[in-house]
Amino acid sequence: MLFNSIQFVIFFPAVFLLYLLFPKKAKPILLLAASYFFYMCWNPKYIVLIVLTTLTTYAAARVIDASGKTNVRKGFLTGCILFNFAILFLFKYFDFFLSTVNKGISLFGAGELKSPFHFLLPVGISFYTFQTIGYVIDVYRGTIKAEKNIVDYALFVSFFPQLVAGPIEKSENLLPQIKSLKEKNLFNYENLVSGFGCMLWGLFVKMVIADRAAILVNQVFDHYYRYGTVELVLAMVLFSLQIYADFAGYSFIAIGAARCMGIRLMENFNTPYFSTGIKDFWNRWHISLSLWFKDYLYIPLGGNRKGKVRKYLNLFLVFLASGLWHGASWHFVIWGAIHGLLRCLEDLLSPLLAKIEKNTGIRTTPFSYRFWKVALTFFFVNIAWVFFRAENLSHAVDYLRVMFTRPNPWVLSGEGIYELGLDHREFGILAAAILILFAVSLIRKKLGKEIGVFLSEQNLYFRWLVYIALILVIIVFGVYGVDFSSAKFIYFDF
Amino acid sequence: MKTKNAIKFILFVSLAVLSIAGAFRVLKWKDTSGDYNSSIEQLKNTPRDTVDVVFTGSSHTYCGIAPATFWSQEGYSVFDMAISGQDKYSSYHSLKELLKTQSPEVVFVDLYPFTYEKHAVEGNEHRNMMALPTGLNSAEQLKDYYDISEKEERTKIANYFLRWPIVHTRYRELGKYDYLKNPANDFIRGEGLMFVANPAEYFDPSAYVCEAAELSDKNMQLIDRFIELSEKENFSLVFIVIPYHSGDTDLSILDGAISYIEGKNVPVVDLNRGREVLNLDVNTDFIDNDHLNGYGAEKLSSYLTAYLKENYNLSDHRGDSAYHQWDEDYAYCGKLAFETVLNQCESLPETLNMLRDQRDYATVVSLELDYQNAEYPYLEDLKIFGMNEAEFSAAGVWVYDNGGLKRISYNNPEAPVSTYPLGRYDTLSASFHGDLQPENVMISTTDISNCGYYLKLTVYDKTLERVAFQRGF
Repeated sequence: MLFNSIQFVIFFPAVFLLYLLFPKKAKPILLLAASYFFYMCWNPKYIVLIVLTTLTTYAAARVIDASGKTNVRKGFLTGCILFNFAILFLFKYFDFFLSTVNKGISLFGAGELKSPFHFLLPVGISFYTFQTIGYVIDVYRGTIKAEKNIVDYALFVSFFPQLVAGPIEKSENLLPQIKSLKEKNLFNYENLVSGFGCMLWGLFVKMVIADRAAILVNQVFDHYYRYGTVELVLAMVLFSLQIYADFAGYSFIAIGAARCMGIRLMENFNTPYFSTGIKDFWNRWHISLSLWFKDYLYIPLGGNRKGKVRKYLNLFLVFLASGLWHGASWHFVIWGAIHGLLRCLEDLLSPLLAKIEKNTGIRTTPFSYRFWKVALTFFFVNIAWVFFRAENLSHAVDYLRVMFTRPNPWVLSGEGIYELGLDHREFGILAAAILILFAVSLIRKKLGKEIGVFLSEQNLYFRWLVYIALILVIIVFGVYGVDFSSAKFIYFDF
Repeated sequence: MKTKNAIKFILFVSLAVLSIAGAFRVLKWKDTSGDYNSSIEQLKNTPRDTVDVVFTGSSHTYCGIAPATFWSQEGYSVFDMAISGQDKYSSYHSLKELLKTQSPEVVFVDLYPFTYEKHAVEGNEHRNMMALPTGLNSAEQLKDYYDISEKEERTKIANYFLRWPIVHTRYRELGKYDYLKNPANDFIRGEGLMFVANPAEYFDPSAYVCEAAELSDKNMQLIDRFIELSEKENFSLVFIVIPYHSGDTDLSILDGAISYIEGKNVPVVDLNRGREVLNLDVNTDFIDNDHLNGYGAEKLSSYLTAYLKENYNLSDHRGDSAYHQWDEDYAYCGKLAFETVLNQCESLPETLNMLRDQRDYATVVSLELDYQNAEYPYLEDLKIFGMNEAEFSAAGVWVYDNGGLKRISYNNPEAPVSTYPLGRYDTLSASFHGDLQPENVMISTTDISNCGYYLKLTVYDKTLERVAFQRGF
């Protein structure tokens, strides 16, 4: 069930209404049933995987928490992590692994190995696997006590707003809220108002921006060899906006839906394209994943405590893992590697750059300095996105080759860019929507408030005007319906 | 606090629903290729219980059945519940829709839709599946037409039922009548008459001797449902075949259907095989092989008027103010015929003579300064509009409206723009930029300047708010 589908438009209000009507004690059961139903709408069979992950991590955490023996604790932690990563590997990475092995052995003239499995990628498997492993590690570290109530824990694993594309919640944030459902009424009107605003905003950026930009992006990326620099740069920039609008849109809907019920999920995006460097970017982009890698991979690897070489090696490894997390393909790994490389270079070169700035008298306080850094970061992030979006590695390399070697500015004077799937009107709608996104991002940056909270603080007439305008814009200008199959959220595949 | 919030919530939801309903009103399916005319809209604008006779069917019906003929001859209030490419299920459910507000005494069901199962043209599928308002009846129509066991068809059902997944993209094509009511929908009685004549191929169905096809279960069931409906709603049911160029396959299906229907003691008027009673002329009575034009429709409708008179006891409603739409429709059909003749006329005096007594039209007369070069006595012809020599010699732009000629402007480049209101949204404007120049005379944004002609006549239909005729002389 997609958030931008009619099924969800029926499902969510129904669950919300029942949530209001159900007694406190029954609320977790209701939400768990709703979450399982939500997940089973994709593929009922795969609910088994969630249940399996839930039971194994629940049991392992209970044993770890109860046992005083280090080797038992370590053994269960390791076993639990290996078991759940094995499931993830089997369903997500096995084919990639096999094709890599096949490529390797083919060099020696060996025959191709056939996959004994034909699995579909279970949606959201990377998200809930990481969330549950994070929980088990937290219990092992003593950050949190193991959850005894299986219903509460199962709901923590499968809470429908964030089940399939995050945010990857920290157990210490989400679990206590779920536990308190039985004790106090988390719902209040203010949460409903800001949560609803958040959902509308998420639907707007997903359906009006992301899905519209995708039309041009798909056309150009699928036939990049037909075009020149102008079209390829345009598609690259629009893909950057598409993936942000797509993923942030989903996160806004998830956060908003949870907030309507009084549950606060963590912020997942904080105006990432206003970042002034790669480190800054990863503090603002997919925040929950960055935190996960920091807490459960970078720090255990030694972080920055074991010297500079190890620090950069650790950073690079984390970004490689992040690339692999996003997809079972080499172009994702390279995308991660580019970010890792840029992150290391940024760190390595920052003292030198500071020195140059000081010696040449470059002032670091004016807007122009900040703008330059934002633009430079945006440029590098965009180049990296080409590897992310391309079909494969050679496609990405060739895309960049064409982009840098085939300047065709005359296209800007003609009608060529309106023949890439978006005519003048659609371009106008997209441009206007992007301007609105920019304005809202400025509000977020300057006031430090996300859109739902900002709107909930406004006067009623203004808030209603915005909400109704958003509803109308989404249902009229949203990309959906017979000409457009309900496009999947891009991050569902990860 | 809780009560206050609850009130706010209810108010917000109400406002949101109203806004969405308003947007839907603009975006909803309208028959744009049919000039925004639609039988369902026309039905909505018809007072309750005024329709005595109904015809269901496709373009064969709305081209071939002229309610104005029934009205002018016997005062019968006839309505064409017809849609382009109407399939048999849409016939049935369109009729059910009509029965919500009307109690007809006789219903004619054209059998042509029984000759096919699925629409061959996607546009017709859209038209038929979205013509009826969303409700139980349209849901049943979708259920009848589509196979609910097929996933793809289930998606279609959902899309058509919800409408938004289809109609929201109409923001790309919105026109004037998406926002405003099309005045023609106020009085047209479902027909879509055209008075253009295109010679059709000679077709004699009697030459086709084919075996009647065994009626399909679906056809049989639907015919039975029509019969049940007629019994339940207490109207006389008549099946009809309107003349069209039917081949072997269609004829055998139609013959099979007729045989089945006659076995049920329900009358059938087969004017396809029995077309000789209509005296149709292939050169003058057809738009194409499959559709009668206005003249052919008049012959067919005259025949059916007589049939109704002979077999049913229907009232003559002429003179009853509740039936004013049939009067207006009759006048409208007259106008259509008039405009066809007008457009075929190339003589200036004849054109002016035809326009002289027309009160529904305003005629813009535009004369260039160098009219003398034409060596044609325009003034003599224009005298019929009340033009005199002094007026004429100065050239310029006039409007002939309600029997009087009014000067709008002189061909003076120094003069400010002159205007004359023609309709709610149309203004005639004249500003001289030189002989033969564009944008000298405009109706709103439509350029009606002479552009190459010394004299130009432009006829504006004040009722339907459109340019009905333009010709340079």
